[in-house]
Amino acid sequence: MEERELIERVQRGEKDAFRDLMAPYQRKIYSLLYGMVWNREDALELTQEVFVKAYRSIKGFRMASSFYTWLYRIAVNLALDFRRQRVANPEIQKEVDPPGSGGPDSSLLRKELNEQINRTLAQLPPQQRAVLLFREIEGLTYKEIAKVMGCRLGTVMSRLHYAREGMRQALAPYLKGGD
Amino acid sequence: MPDCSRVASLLEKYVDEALSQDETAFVKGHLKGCRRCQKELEELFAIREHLREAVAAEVADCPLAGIWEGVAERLEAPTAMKRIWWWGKTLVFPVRPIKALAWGAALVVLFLVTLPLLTAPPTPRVVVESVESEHPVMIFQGEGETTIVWLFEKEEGKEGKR
Repeated sequence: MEERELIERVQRGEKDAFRDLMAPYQRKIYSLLYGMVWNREDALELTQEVFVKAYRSIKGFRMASSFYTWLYRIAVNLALDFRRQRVANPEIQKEVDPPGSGGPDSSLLRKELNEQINRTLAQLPPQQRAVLLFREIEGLTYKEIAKVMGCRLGTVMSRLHYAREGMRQALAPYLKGGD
Repeated sequence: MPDCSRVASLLEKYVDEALSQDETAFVKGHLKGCRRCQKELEELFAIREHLREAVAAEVADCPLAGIWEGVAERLEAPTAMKRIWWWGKTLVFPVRPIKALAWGAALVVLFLVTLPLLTAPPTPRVVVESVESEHPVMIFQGEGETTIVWLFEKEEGKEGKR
């Protein structure tokens, strides 16, 4: 069944159609949110929140933009709100492991690298982080990111550049030899 | 190489496939002979690869099946507006008239019982005008509701101070 038809059915109040509509986006939204908050429980909670919000406001969706752009916009706004709440309540700890000891084992090295990516992402300004994830994980074009984020193309490119620069500096030891 | 700075400014767009055909051809041509720019390019791809692997590793065992259950559960739960509407409707248009009458009667009784307590006059102030005593007496009337009465023992040979 086509996405458009599913959307129309959900807009008529068919809750079951919503399950089919959200199915292709579950992993994508979860991945994006995980990259934003880097905590499984929070990412799961936020993913559910995105779909609940989407369901409750889908009657206002006019098919003028693509559904995924609309859905991603909800996701990124929720993630940014969540981030703001976290900044306001710093006692809530993130699921960030301490730096690993490293070692010759490749799985250990991978773990250490993931932790370094984790820490670097956490340090990036949320807008830069979102742009980086949209581009590198979701593969959105600059134009699509600009639509989702509600900003200009130049802003997207600038944020992406600074985010990549941050990653490049933080991951420098792992990037030697182009690996 | 003289073109390195221009290529460096185009590399990110190259990686993101956002260059024009001419620009792409220019960058490709330069990369063939420039190890430094090749390294820059490899780093950009490596960052992408590492990021994807890091997120994929964390997301791989995500319990996606549970997402719909959580969403469905939340959709069933009444929203704040619905809860307010329900309370308003229940209070204004009670479904069971007898129950509503009973509640109404209870409220009236409660009101009638508490009304005298709320409107009761304050306790009148006690004024001590005289004290019958063989001992000398002093009366102190405070500003509040306190009145202090002192009784002094008689001193020998005296009738009392006051």
